[in-house]
Amino acid sequence: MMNQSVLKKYGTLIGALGILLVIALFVQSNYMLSLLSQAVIYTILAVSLQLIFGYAGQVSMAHAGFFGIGAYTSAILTYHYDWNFVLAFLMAGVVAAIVSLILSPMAKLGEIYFAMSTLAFNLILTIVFANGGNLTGGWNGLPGIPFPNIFGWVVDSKKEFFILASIVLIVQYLFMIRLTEGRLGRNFRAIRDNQLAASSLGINIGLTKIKGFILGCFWAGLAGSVMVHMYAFVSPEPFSFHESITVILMVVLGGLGSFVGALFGGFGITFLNEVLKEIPLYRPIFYGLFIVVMMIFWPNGLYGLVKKFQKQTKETLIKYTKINLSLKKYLSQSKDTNQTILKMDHVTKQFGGVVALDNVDLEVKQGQVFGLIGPNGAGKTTFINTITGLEKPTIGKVTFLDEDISGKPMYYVGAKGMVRTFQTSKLFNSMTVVENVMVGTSTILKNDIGMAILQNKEYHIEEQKAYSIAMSIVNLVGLEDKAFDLCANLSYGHRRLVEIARALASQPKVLFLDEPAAGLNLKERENLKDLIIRLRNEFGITIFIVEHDLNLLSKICDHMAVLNFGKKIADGLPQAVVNDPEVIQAYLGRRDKKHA
Amino acid sequence: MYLDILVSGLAVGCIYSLIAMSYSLIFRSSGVLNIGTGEFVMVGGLVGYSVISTLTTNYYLSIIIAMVIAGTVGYLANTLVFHPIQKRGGQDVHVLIASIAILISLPQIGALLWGAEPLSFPNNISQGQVNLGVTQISGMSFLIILLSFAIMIVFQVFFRFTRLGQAMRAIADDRIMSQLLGVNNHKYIAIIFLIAGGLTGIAGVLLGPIYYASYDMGTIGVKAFAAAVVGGFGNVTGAVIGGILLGLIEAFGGTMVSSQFRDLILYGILIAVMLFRPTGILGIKQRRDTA
Repeated sequence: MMNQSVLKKYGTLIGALGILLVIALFVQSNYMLSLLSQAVIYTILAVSLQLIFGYAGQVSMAHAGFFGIGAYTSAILTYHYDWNFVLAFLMAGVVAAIVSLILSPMAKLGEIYFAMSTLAFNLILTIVFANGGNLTGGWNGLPGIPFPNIFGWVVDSKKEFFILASIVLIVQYLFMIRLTEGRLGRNFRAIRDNQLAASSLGINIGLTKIKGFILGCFWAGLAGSVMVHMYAFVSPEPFSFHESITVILMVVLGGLGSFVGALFGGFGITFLNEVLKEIPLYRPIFYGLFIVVMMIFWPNGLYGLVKKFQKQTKETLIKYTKINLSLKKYLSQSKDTNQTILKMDHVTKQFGGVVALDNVDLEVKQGQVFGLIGPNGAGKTTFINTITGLEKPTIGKVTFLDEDISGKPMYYVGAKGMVRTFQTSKLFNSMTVVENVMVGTSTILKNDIGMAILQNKEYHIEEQKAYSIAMSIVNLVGLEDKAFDLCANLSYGHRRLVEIARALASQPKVLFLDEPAAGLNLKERENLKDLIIRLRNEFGITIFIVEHDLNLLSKICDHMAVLNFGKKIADGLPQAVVNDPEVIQAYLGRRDKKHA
Repeated sequence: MYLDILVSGLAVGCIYSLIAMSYSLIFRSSGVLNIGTGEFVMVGGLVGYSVISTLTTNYYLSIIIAMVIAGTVGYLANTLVFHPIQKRGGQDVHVLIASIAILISLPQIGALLWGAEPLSFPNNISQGQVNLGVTQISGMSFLIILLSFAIMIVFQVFFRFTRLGQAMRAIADDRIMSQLLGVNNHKYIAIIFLIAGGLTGIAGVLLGPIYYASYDMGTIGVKAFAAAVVGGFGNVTGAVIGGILLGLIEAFGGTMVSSQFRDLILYGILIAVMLFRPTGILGIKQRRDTA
């Protein structure tokens, strides 16, 4: 079992290692070795962009620029200041990472802004490289960059450079695989699939993307250092935005979100470039057509194509065995039912001239099932949005466990324990059910970059716990036979359950359900009802439901409130609310009550 | 001296405004950011050059022909690239990647057809002077400003008072709702691409006589994008204001730095705006169907 999983995990790596070894032993032609080294270096670039683009979801058009920052750093330090190669090599990565920090606040913007700004940044870098005077050598570049001396190993032949570049690639590949396995990797993919859902679970989107961007740029810098020493020459051309686009092409060809794909893309495009060398003018036109055709017919690249034909078996996905954990201990909340857990004072929300919420006061007690009803357009979803931080209240205060959380961002509120589901379920479609639920544990787990790379005992204990909890919760909601299905293939009713399960995994203090019964059939509704009652009775989780289905609500709620045109018109015990004449008129119309 | 800089800055700013309007129009209506927008400017510039150096000496005719051809290229970009991707369920990121394809392939097509050398427009277009009381200003700049303002006014009228314009505004505001109310989105979005392409084509012909026309002039698209975000991306009025503002900043700032660093001014502004005030001056009105 263990051996098999190691093989699964590092299979590609071991294969690649073998191929590289064979090449190193048998290929003698300097032309081939030079080309292969170039391919390896570009593959390092492609793999690092895969982290930024395929995982953290940012289209960086400055990757060649960061490659260049590393290249120039290493060149200047060794050429002008006689630094040792090892130090200059590390500095190349560090400087690229530090420069990427400057751009990192843009990570929270949409991908189009990020793409355009990084394009501008790459143009700036080209101007800076080309006008750096004696330091960078201007357009003519700096010739005679010294060969690396790595603790006595002088790298001065094509073959040695190929070995050096291959070592860097292997270390990087290992780094990336480990990095993206644990909590951080799940968060990356979650953000790429659905940002809103990720932040509702308490994941700080901006910070997570910044981590991906900086790490990606660090490796691009290291790749740059290897390249300048190999050519013993540096000039601005290889670092123009056109080259950034070449790297994007590698990643896109291989398939977004797959490091194996990036390996193929890196090697593939480098060799294709070489083949098309004779017709440089037609090359961009060919690539342009190629990208367009790919985006229309196979937007997920080679990896997507392979995946389509490959049937996923359950065994390949299990890395851990489930251990028995007390779900009761994990999910249980305080039993103090007199405590006010959530309080809203005079909350008003305006959109321009439209008043969606008008001076609403509410109080939710610990352990209650609280129902909010109202006709279409009454402001129910706006209400949830305003409490959970998606919208800021125009006036008023939201207090959660004695903390004023009005206007706090969604991930903050989510991390505090107020977790929601959405009216149209927002799942991470490229992940399995159990992985989706594991994303929910993000705020509970501690493993991050360091622990993921080391993969120490603590890391494995944590991941095993996350897996076990996720499986237990999947059982709880009754999806055990779907646990390893991709969410994209689930039915509507199952999707809703996954969303609830995912929210539960984050240990919610208050669980907000936005029309959970909408679109469910009768049997599913019954199950949902039982689940909600069980969550309250067994674990004491406070549940806030927004629903149309009065029948369902009046059976399970401890307390109900009614909204109409943004105003609260009733608030009390279900029986009293349902019989309130104003509610009957507003919500049910003037019909005879017994038809309701 | 200062009047000269003011007028030429204003003229270049007007050109940025036209391109920025093109970005905003397309983005508002179809949600596409066409990174290759600058390359449509290149198409306009090169076509304008060919027309004026071979077919006719009438500058206005060359503007119209360039507009039509760049408009057609814009229309084709939607029909052959963006629309098929969206129709087959491609997401924003796939559309964005496809627009990168336009960014790399169009300039090469330009280079194949027109060569890699910068092409200068005939002197008689750019050399005239206009008397303004005591001083003289460049006739070309004067023409650019006049034409650009005329186009912008026509656009405002078009959007406010014609049925077509109103339908486009409806799509820009809420695509799904306008579709439910019977607006044929696909048709209108295609027309918007046509118009937006035409705008960039005009920008190309206006830009040609002040600098030159060449296959690599498309990087002006990045500067125009800076103008669009300064004004508030997706806001057509903001695009006009942002363009003029950046044209003036570049003209006056350019006198202070050496010429090779001149481009840094606007690229730097783009990044600074993105870092500190991504909503721009006028702010972005959120599309209602994206929430």
